[in-house]
Amino acid sequence: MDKIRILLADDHALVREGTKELLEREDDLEVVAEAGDGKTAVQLATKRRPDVVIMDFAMPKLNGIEATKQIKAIDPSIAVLVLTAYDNEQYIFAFLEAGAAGYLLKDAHIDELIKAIRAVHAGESILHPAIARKVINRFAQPAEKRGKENALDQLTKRELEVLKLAAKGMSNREIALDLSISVRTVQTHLSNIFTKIGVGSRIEAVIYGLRQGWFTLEDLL
Amino acid sequence: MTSTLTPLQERWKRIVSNPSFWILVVVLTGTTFLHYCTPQIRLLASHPITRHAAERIMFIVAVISATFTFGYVGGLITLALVVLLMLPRVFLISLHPVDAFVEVIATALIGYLAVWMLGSKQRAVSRLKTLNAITTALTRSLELEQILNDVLDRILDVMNVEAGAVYLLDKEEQGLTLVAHRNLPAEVIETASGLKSARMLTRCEGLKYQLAMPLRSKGKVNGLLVVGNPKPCPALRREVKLVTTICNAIGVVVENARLCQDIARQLQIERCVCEVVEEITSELELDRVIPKVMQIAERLVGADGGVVALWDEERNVITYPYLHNLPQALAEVTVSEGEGLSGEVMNTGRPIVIDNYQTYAKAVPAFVQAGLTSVVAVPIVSGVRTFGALSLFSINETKKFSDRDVTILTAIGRQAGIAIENAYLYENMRFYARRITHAQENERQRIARELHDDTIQSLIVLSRRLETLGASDERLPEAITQGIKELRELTGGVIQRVRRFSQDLRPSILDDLGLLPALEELTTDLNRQAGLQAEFQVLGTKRRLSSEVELTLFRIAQEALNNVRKHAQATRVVLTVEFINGAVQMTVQDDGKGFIPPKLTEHLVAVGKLGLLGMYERAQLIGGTLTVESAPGQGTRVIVKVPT
Amino acid sequence: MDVETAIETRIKPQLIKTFGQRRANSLLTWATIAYVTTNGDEKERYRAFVHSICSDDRVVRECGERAVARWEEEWKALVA
Repeated sequence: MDKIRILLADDHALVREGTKELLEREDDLEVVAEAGDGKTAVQLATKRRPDVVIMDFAMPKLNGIEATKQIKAIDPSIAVLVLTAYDNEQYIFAFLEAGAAGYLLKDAHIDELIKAIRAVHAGESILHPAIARKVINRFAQPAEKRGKENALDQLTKRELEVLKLAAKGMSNREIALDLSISVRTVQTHLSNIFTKIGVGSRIEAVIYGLRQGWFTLEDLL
Repeated sequence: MTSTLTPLQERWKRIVSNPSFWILVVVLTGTTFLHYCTPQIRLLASHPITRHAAERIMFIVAVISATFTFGYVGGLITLALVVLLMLPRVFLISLHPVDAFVEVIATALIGYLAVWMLGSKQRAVSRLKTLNAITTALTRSLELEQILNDVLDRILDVMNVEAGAVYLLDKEEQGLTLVAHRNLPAEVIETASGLKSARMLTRCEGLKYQLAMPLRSKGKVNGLLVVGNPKPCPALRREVKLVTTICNAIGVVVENARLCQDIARQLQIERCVCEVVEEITSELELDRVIPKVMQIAERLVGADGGVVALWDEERNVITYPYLHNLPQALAEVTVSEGEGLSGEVMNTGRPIVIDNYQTYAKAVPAFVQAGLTSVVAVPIVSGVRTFGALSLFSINETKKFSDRDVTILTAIGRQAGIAIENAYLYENMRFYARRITHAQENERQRIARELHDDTIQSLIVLSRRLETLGASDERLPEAITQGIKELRELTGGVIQRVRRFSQDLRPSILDDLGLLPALEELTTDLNRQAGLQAEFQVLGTKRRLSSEVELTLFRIAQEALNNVRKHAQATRVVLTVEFINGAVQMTVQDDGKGFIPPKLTEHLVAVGKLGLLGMYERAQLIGGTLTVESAPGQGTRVIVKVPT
Repeated sequence: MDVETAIETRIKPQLIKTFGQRRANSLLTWATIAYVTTNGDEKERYRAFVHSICSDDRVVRECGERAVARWEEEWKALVA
């Protein structure tokens, strides 16, 4: 299996080195590039096209949010994980609006980081359910803006179902159980969804669906 | 059809048209006839009155009635006529000429007595009537010129005099002014000097018979009345007492009229000065105050226009930033120190009056071209500093500016100086306030960052080490493990509190994400912590603002929400940010207990609302406005509007 | 000479020189009032004019009785 290609962006060189070392101990992870500031991060992401970017929020030249926006503009399939000192709601919303796939607290354990990388790459959610709920509340459109019809322009009926269940907060396994399909199938569907709508992670897809009005708050209760 | 009759013919015409005249003629004729008719008719058989006696009585009656109707002169004429009518009979017909003659003399004497008494009485009555009429005329209005002309007419009429004049003494005894005149020779009227005119009038050949009386009020002379006639006029001598009384009455009226004028002038000046003071103390915007003050000053002295010259310290020149009724191009003119009229005034610190600017040695050409003629310039000072000069002028024609004008303008100049000094002080204050606020914010930011980068990091490291310690493989006593756990919790708590404190000092959300997320966070926080229902809404198209504006708005919102939390006893508060064209408006509205906001911002300190004053100052610093709307029981609304 | 010439050429300049414009005006005004209200011929009036000036308290005080008396004599002699 291909290794997950990772770009590390952090202005503290020692932190970067340390993290790189710990990540490379894992067989399925490979650090393909390192950046010390936001601008370089964008440049390297463009050049090396990693699968996942680990981005410190507070960086010189370009902050994490801006860099995320730019990277997503270049290649939407890249998943960006933001490392932040604050799990403040406002920050989370700002990250997600910029197109991040998720966030982690800076002082999180390296294991958590590794778990998150793998989960994101597998299309799983890495958001705490409480946060997820808040995200849905924020990005959901009012009932009038239902646009279910054009959902089917882009996705198949099955894919839409999967996405809806994902939006509800179900894990891949729970979705598989609910639709009586295998986890692998769920993963494949998700993968296809990501490619079709041009995103790099589960939460991005959910947000996209919410924005388009493919499902509203009522659907997800 | 105008009459070309002489006065005598006029009078004759009047007499002839009077019916009494004809009655008189008839009576005289009849009585004369009876007097000369020979047959002695006994009037009444038993009565001893002879006919002739009756006739004599009739003659006297005729004389008396003539006096009534035609006055003293008419009475005398009639008396003379009666005597003439009676005499022939005495010498030609009477049997006892001596007796008859004596009777005629007696009749004449009685007649004359009657005429004299009646005439005097009539004259007295007519004098009183004249005096009454004149006094009424004098007190009808306070329009001096009008009254004096009116009164002069009446006097000339009553005394039967052809020409007259009234001179008034100048207020400061600097001469006489011809105020009213009738039928004077041209040279007397046209002489510029009142004194010369009066002397000329006295010498006037055509008015040889004159009477000149001073007008008095409270014993003080304040004018002259001169009446004259080419021919001798008995009234002039006879009516001196009447004229004296009239002159006194006129004198009093003149003084009253002048006093009224003085009072009116004084009131007007006071009103203008009050206006000036009010303007100056209600505004700090120089560009609004100075033009207004200039216009008030203009009105006060009746000038055609004004200019305020100010000393520009930076460029070391005198500029003319404020102009009224002058071409705007003059605002570009600059002169060096001490030049021009303004320069001279600023150097000497004393007011200057120029009668003709066109010939003034230090005149500035641009102003000469604009047509400045008479100018009064006063310095604008405050304490020891001279800021500039206020000049008022007439255009294209000369004007006399009185000493009083100069005094008032000097006072106004001082007021203007105060206004300018206040404005400068205020500017300086704002400048320093801004710098202090900047310094304060920078310091807060520095501390917050240090806390975050250094202190919190260290605490995190401490926490981690404790974790490592507690998770080490060696078997530790229960007590120690427990102790370490507690330490970790304690540390966690410290980290939280330091984080919170750092956020309060300088919220990173504001720097990282901008104003709107930071405000949303404030309301969410309020919800969570204080149990208030806090809402945040954004109207209009979102846009980022300058960091100074965003920070200020954030601080104001922070303070406002703090106030709501601490004082308002509210259940709901709404924070609204509205983006409009060229500005942004932020409103904090609560449904709490409200208060009575003071009228002026300065009073916020007096009522102890320093927080509000701070918000007001912050808004002012970025060029915005802050209004507080509140009433007891009706909640409070704080509105900040900032141009962007 | 005639009255006006006397005033213009001798009396007025002297007064202005000694007392200044304002006070001179004041003195001349009162003198004129005396001139106009005096009954009599031109000469009598003129004398009243001169007398008014020369009997003014301040004038006598400031210039001395003798000097003022001299003026009075001199001026009265101007008009025959």
